[in-house]
Amino acid sequence: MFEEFKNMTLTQKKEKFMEIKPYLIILLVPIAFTILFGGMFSPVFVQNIPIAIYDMDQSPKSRQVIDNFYDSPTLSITEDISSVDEIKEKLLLGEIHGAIIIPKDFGKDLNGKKGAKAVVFMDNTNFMYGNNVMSAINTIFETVNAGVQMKYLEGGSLVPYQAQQSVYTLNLVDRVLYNPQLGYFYYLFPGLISIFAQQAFLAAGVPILVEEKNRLRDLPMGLSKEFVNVKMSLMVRRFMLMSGLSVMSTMACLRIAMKMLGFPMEGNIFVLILFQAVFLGAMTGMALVIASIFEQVAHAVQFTMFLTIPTFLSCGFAWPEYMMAPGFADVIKVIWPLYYYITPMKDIMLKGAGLELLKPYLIGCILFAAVWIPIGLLLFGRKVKLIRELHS
Amino acid sequence: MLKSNKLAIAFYNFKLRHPRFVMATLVFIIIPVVSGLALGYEMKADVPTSIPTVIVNHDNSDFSRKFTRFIEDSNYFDVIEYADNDQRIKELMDKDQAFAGIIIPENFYSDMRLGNAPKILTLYDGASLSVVTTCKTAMSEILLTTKAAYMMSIFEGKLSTVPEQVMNMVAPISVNYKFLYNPTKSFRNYLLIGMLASVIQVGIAMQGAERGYENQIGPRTYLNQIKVVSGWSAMSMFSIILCLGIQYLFFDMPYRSTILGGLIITYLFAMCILNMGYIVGNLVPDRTFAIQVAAILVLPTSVLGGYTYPIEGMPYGYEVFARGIPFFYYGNWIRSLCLKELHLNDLAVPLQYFTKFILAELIIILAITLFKNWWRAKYKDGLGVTPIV
Repeated sequence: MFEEFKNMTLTQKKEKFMEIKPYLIILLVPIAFTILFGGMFSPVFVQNIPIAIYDMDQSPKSRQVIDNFYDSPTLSITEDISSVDEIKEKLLLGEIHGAIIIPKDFGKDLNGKKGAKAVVFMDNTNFMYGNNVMSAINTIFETVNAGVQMKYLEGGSLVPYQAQQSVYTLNLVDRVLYNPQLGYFYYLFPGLISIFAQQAFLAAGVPILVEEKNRLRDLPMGLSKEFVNVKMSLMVRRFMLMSGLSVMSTMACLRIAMKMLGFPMEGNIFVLILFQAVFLGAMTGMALVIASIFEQVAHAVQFTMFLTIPTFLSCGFAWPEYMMAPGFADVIKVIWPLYYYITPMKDIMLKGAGLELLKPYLIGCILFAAVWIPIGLLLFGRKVKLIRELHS
Repeated sequence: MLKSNKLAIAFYNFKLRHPRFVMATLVFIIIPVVSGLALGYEMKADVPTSIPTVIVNHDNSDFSRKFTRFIEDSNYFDVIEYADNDQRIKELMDKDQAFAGIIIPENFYSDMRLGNAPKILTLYDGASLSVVTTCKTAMSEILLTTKAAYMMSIFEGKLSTVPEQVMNMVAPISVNYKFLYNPTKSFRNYLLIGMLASVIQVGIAMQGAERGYENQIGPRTYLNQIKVVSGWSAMSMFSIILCLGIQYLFFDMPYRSTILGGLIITYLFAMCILNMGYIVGNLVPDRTFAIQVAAILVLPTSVLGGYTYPIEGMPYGYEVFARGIPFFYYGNWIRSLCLKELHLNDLAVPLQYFTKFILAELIIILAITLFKNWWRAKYKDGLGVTPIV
C-alpha cells in the first residue's frame, strides 16, 4: 500500500487526500481539539491572579493581615502602589484584577476594638476573575476575623476551646456534586465533545451531499431506478461509516481526557454511544437541509462552520434551560438537535445518569430525526429535481 | 414543477449569478443579526436567579426556619421542595430539576446553643458551573447575615458589651467589596460581547480565505491585494458593529468608552483575521479545504484566547500563546470598551499588537506574491502554475 502511494503522482495524491478528507476530519479533528483544550485546562485551579495591595496604614497590624495574602496560591500580590488612582488605572487597563486598600488607622482601630475597615476593588468584567479573587480574599479576611474574635472572647471569660466553638458554631459545609473541584475542564468537556462531534460530522457530511447534488445535476435526465438505488445505498453506507468514525473519535477523545486529565467518566459507555448514534441520525437530517440550500461546497462549509458557537450557547449547556427567555427553548428543540445530545452527554459523563432518566431526551432526539430526515430528503430530492430540470 | 417553484428558481438563479453578494450578505449581515437577536433574547435573564433549590430541614426549630426563610426571600433561590430525606436532593439534581440543596441537621439549634458547632450542608450541581458560582456567593451572603446576628447575641451575652460595640467585635475587620464595571455580574455582558465577535471572526477568516483563493485563480498585484483586504476588512468591521449594535440597542449592553477607539481596534482586528484567512486561501490549493483550514485556525481562539477562562489558569506555554493571538486582545478589550470608561490613549497595548500583527501579515502576503511571480516567470514555458497554485 505504501509502495502504491509512493508511485502516485502529485495530482493522484491530492485526489486521494480529498477522497479520504471527510473521514480524516471526523476522526482526527475532535481528537486534536481534545488534546489542545485538555492541555489548556490541565491545571484545574486558577492561580496567580494579579492583585494589588495598598497599605496606607503601614502598621504592624496591617502588615500582619497583609502577610496572610502572600500564602494564597490564587493571588499574585504587588504592593508597588502609591495611590488609589494608580490602582484604578491598573484595574482599568486590566493589569490587575483586584485590589485591597488598607486605610490609615487600620491597626489603631483594630487594637481599640473600633472596627477596622478595608476596601476591596474587583474587576468584574470577567467575573471568573472576580469570583476567584473574591473567594480568596473573603476566605482570608474571614480567617483573620475569626482569629480576632477568638481573642476577644478569650479576653472575656471563655476558655480557648469555648471561644473557638462560639466563633465557628454556625458554618456552611459546601459539597459540590459531580465536579467536586469545580474544574472548568470537567464542566466544559462534555459540551466540547458534543460540539466536536456535531461540527466534524457536518464539515464532512455536508460537502459530500452538495457534491453529490451537483453531480446528479449534470447526469442525463433518464436516470434508471437501479442507478438511483445504487447511489442511495452508497450514500447511506458513507454516512454510516462517518457515524461509526464519529463514535470512535468520541471514544478516543474520552479516553484521552480520562488518561490525560483524570476526567471522571461516571456513566455507561453504551448509553453514550446510543445517544451519539441517534444524534448523528438527527444531524443527517440537518445536513440534508443545509445541502439542499447551497449550490457551492465552499458556501455550505462556511455556513456549517458558523453554527459552532451559536448552537453551543443556545442548547442549554452554557445557559440552563430554566433561565432561558420564554419560548426560546421550545424553538431550539424544534430546529436544532444538539439540545437532545449535549445535556445527556453531560449527565452521562459527570452524573452517571442512566437510560431511564434520559429517556425524554432520547425520545425527543428520535422524534427530531424522524421528522427532519424525511424533510431533509424531501428538500434535497426536490432541489435535485429542480436543478436537473433547469440544467437539462 | 417549474411553475410551482418560481420563487425557488429565482433564488437559485440569483445565487448562481451573485454568489459573492449572497455569501457576503449571509456572513456579514444575516448571521450577525440573527445570532445577536437570538442569543441576546435567550440570555434575557442576564444573571442566574430563582435557582431551583431543595431544602431538607431535620431540625425544625424557629432558628432553622428563620434561616430557610432567608433563602426563600432571596431572589437567587427558588425553593422548589422541602424534602424529608437527603437523597431527594441528589435525585432532583440527577434529573436537572434542582441545582442547589441545603441540609440542616437534627438538633441543629440545640447543638449550636451547646457550642457543639453543628454544620449546615449545602450541595451544588457542579455540572452547571455558571449556576454554582452564583449559588455559592449568594448562600455565603445569607449565612454571613445569619451568623452576624447570632454572633451579636453571643458577644452581648458573654462579654457584656454595649450594643454599639458589638458590631465591631462581630466583624473586627469590615470589608467593603466594590464590584467594578459589571456590578450586577451580568452574564450577557461577561460572555456575549466576545462570543458574538468570535462568531463573526470565523466568517471573516472564511471570507478572507475566499478572497485569497480568488488570488490564486486570477493573480493580482500587491497593491490590489492590499486594496482587497482593506475593503473586506471594512465590511468585516461593519459586521461586528452591527452585531454588537443589536446588543446595545435591544438588550441593554452598555458602551462606555471612546467610539473612535472602538472603531479603530475593531477595524484592525478584522484586518488581522481577514489577512490570516487570505494567507491560507492564497496557499491551500483547494477552495473548500482553504475555508475549512481558515475556520479551524480561528475557531478555537474563542477558548484559547482567555476570554472566559483566566489565562493565569493555563499552563505557561498556553498563556504565552494566548497573549500572541488577536482574539485575546480584541475579545477582552472590546468587553472592556463596553463596560469601562476607556480613552483612546488607554488602547496603546491592543493597537500596538494589531499594528505589528498586520505588518507581519502584509510582509507574508508580499513574500507569497514575490515568490509566485518569480515562479511563474521562471517556468513560463513549462509549469504554468506555482507549486502551491
